[in-house]
Amino acid sequence: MWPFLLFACVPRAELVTARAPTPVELVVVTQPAGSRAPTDAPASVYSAIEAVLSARLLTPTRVDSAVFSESFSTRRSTAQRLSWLAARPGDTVLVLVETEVEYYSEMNGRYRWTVSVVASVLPPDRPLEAVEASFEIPVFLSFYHEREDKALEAAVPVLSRRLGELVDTWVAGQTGG
Amino acid sequence: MRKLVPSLFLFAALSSPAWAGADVGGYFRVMTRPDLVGGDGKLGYWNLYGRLLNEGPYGAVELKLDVLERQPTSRELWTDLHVKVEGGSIAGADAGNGGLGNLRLSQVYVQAGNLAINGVTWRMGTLESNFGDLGLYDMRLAQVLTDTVGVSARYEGGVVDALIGVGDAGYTLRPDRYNSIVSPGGTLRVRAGGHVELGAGAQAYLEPEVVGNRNAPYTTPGLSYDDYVRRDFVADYAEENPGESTVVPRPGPTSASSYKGVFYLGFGSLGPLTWNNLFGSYTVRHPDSYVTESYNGVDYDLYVAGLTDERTVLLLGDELQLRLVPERLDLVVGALYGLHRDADNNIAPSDDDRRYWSAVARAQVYLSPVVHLLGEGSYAEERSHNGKQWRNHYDSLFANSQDPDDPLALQFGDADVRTTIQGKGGLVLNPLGPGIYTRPSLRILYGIQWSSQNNAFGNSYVESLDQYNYLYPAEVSADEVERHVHQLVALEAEVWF
Repeated sequence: MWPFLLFACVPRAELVTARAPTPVELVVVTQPAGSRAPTDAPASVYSAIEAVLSARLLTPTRVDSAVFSESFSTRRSTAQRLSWLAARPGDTVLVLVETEVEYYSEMNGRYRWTVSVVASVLPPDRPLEAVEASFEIPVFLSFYHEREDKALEAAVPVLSRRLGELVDTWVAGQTGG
Repeated sequence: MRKLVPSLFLFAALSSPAWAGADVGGYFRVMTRPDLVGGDGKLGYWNLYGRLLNEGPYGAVELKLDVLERQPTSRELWTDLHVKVEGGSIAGADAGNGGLGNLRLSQVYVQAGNLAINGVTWRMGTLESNFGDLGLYDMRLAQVLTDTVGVSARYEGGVVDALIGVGDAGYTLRPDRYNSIVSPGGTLRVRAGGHVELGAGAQAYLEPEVVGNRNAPYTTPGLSYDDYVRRDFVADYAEENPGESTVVPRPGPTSASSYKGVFYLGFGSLGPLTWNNLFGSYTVRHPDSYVTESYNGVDYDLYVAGLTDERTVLLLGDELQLRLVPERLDLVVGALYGLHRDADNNIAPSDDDRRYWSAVARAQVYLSPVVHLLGEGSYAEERSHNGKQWRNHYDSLFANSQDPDDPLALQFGDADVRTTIQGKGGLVLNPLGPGIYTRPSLRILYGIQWSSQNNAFGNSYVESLDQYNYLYPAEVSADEVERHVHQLVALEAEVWF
């Protein structure tokens, strides 16, 4: 049994951090089923994403959903949304995380949901340096009454890992390491 | 080979390009539990003592193909296809050795939404609906239409969910002796805020009288439960009616019906109480069709609808999930009660005429987000209504043959109660963090069971005096080989994807 405990001591991969604290604007979008208007992600999801950014010396500022909700209801592609965000005043780096949660089926007593994520990092003044990743995260919830928000929260461990890798890619490109 | 061919066909079909865009979900558990005292690698007989260490390997893969993808921003028609393959065998982990014949195509259905009625999901194919799971027991007590292929409509609103369906359950209830069993059913679930849910449902089984169909329900006149259990009806009848060319009375056709009702109450999201699920079901089981007796080299089918139409099952189960110290300690407590009655049977111990209850508690301590300690304990009591069903001692058969309460010698053992206590514990690695039901989960566990029954676990011990004399050294006396304690060490992995 004791060898298993050694897993707790395995060092984590080194993070790629910015040379200096770098402000970023964070937009996390959730697309509810049957509605054109995207909404805010749960606070715990925001917090987890902020932790990912902060660990890399990026200083996130949340963009309130009231700012983008109406515009995003008509701009439904990632490119359209990034373009709209970039057109706003200022040149702060944008981090856009778009999520969509879909019920899959009940499997052996658990409720399987699929969380689809498109994550983008865009410096508005250098669009060619943008990086993007899209991926799907299967999550299993124990109870029928747990819906999209809970599925999104359950996806946080994988979402954080994948987003961290994306941010590392972008930061490494900025710092040359 | 008969089972293998469909499996190969299925795998070939699912690997075709048409499935290239399909999503894949599933579940696997695999383990090794070297049993150094002759058991089959399971701590006890069944899930009544908690599913942990009492279940074998299992795999399930479900494919979902969006034929017309559901658009989150649209109320347009959508349709998808689900195909599920599952089975309880993995190479090297059980006696089936992962053979494809152990898998089954358990679900195939097509769903369509926003078809004619917005907000209603139509489903055609295998139907299955349940109110939830008792995770500690891996049981779903409140389920309907699981045995039915047909069509259903489900409405999901903010407060009320409703399901209604109808189909045929004949192939599930009578796989080798098919007769149509029309089966309507439905459920209703009401939600009050985020803290309370109430549900109820019912399903009926209607099997018509079909004269001339040998799989349809009939009853053989004069067949008593004693004859049915002993399988000596034909011999007795021939003895009492010498010279008759047809020795078995002609069975009378009949119709058969049965039903089940289910109940659910869920509440929680209050302080440390994550959720509590209470499930109940009452089932009047569907009658069996026939049994076969051989007499003088001839097989006779004896129809038993009239002898198996009064079997009922009442099940109650509860599971309470508590987050006692967030991110540090979770506790799940479960309880299960079962009452099986068979009004036709007053003479023989049977799984259809017994009652049982158990309680299981599992705690998980999170040493770190990934490394956890697990502890589980269970207590269970099973009681036979028709005499002694279990053997507490190696020589119980001899003791029982002297029992004045059992002149027919239909009892199996020397006890009508089986008590089982289990304790399990060990180390768990959950890469995705805390949570008793978070997966994937890698576990190294130790389990110990005490049972009032001798050898209360799957085993390969000698079963006859010949085997005993052959395999036991002469100096070992029989009472030295009585076992009430069983221990196991297990390496397990469990994953949802």
